Amino acid sequence: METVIRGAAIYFILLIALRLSGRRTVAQMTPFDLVLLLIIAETTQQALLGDDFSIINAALLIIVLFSLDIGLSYIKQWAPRVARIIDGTPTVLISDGKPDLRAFARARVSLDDVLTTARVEQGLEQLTQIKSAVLEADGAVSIIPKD
Amino acid sequence: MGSLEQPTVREDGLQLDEHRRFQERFWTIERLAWCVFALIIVAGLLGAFGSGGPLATKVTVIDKAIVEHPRIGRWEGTDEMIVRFKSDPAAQTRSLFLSNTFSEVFQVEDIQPLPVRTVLEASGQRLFFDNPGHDGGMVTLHLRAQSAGSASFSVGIDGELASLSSFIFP
Repeated sequence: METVIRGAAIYFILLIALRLSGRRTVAQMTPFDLVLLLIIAETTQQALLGDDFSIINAALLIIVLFSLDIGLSYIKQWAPRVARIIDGTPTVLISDGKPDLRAFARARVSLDDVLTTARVEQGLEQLTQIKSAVLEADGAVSIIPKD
Repeated sequence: MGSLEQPTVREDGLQLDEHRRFQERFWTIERLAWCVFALIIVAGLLGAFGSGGPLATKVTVIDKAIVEHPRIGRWEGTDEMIVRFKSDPAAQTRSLFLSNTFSEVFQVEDIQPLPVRTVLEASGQRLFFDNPGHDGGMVTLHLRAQSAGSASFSVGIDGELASLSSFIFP
């Protein structure tokens, strides 16, 4: 019983904490962010397993975590509003070449971030070459160049 | 709208549902959550979640002793209970009574110093410590919480009972 409760509690705590911390952190991952992620994984592992390192405990936990994920994916499919809350929605940062500065500020994305992505992914040199930029729900920035 | 429905095409040509009003609300909630994060950190520093800090420990003064016990603890976490016996010229042996409810909540991992004898009683156990100098002393119990939730228990010093309580976080 304890394993199932631990698994479910940690799953939802992580889901809420990661969602509320903002997705910009996922998109622009620095080496320190990676270290932070490893620390979170280690902390979570201890909270999940406690003192019980048995195979049955690990197996039960894996099944609980996967089942929650599957269950949540169905809920998200049935209720798009829940999906929006859990996964977020895309945010248009540049529309028709015009940057939406409020969206930039609220989503904590800088023009430099967009220009970097434009250079790396599209080989674009200037902001004027960008038609649209979208901060996707997964935290990545996608760039659509002008024709 | 189901997830298999196509998003509408916007004026700028992008086919996506931005849900800007929802996004604005969420950004506000996000920032409020960061304030809550800050409050949680401050509460953690103050000991509101146990494991040290001024709120985590409660000091109870009774006639025979001063008892410091974990007011807020953590399930399977370690804590300390310190009993400071006051000097008593009439007592050569001091006793510490731990009720059964105390034992149900806390596992005593270690006692410093060790009692000279332990007497089992219906409502708990009584530990005896030699104190030939009659000048009191300090007994430290290293505890590990065994169950989560709030718990009330009794601790007795030389026959004087004190009702204490703890909240154990899961």
